[in-house]
Amino acid sequence: MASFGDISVPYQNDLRVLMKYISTLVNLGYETIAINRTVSPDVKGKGGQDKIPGPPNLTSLPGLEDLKKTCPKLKLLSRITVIIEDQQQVRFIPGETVQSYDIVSVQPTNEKLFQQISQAVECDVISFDMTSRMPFYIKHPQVNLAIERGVSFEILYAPAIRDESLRKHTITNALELIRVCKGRNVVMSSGAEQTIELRGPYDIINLGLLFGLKPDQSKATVSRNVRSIIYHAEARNKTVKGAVSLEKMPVPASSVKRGHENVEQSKESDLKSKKFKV
Amino acid sequence: MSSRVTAKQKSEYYYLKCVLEQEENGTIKYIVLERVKLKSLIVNALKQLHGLVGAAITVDVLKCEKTSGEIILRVKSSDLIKLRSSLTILNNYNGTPCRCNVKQVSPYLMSLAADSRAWSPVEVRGKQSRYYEQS
Repeated sequence: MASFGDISVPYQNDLRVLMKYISTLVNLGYETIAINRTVSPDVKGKGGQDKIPGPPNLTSLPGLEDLKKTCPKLKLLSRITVIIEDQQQVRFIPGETVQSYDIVSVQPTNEKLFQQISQAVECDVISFDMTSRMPFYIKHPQVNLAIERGVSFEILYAPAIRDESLRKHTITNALELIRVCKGRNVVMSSGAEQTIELRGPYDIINLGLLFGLKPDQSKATVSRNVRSIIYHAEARNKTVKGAVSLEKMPVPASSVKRGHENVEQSKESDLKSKKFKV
Repeated sequence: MSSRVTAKQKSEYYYLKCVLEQEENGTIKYIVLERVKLKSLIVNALKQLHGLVGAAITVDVLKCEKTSGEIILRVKSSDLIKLRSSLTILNNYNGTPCRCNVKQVSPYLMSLAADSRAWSPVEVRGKQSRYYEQS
């Protein structure tokens, strides 16, 4: 069984607060956690690309070692959500800073952009702002295109817990989305603003039933689909056209004796370890 | 002689073990409530999400453990989804944010006696879990 995952924990500048989110999620039973950063790059000013912050360093969080002891399978990922309001902002997505995140997600704000994103843009997740009335209808052809490419759709549940009117909108939009994509490739994640808004995975599975999912699909939204997003992201990031990937191997002890060859090998592996640009 | 009992039909009731949690000074603490207050909290939560139909659901509070904050509820199996979603949506008690953490759900009351998920080989039996601050 795929482990449970929450792919939308908002990034906190205070690492201790971020750690509190992570430990709460671990206590609730999640094992895969993605720290999300939401940006909306500016088109007009020069160097909009540079203004996007790089992925946070998730290996040096305070108290992470202790948490790893209680949950050895814990997997932390970085994620970026690019809110796109203008056609020109689409060019930021293939950029190096955005692609250096583990998971890339895009939030279109109108139908034209949604069409473009589902067709061609390289991303893993498409999310919508579900807390207000959707400005456009989600249509079958676009959704099918995205699903064919392995892109998933996201539903945030924390707004539904926070406030009554947000809840109303979240339920309508989620029902609509699930009707269109027939329950395939949907993930549910928190997007919580406080740690108390987080809920256990089985509660979310139950909530999915309320959104019109079937029990097995509902379970997949927090487990299997999250895993498939991670694999999709890895195929995009660490491979050449999803076909070839290279990994650094430890040098076997027998080759250490032959000094000159060893030097050559390490040179080669240095070259290989550089990121592939396609 | 041991005998094997198989329940053939769908069970009539479901039992839920849950804990009401609250955050205080950065640590999670459980809330202990009286039965009447707890019942009204649950009915309100049901009414909030499912309206009058939700409020008509009968929920029995079987147990309110004072030492561990555990609550055991009983519902008709047809109403389980409605009750559980209302507990998920529950977000405040007396104005302070809270969470109803559903620990276990089972059609058999007996199986709530032991929690396989909370069990760990490292922790000594009888010791309270480290998740809660001891009050």
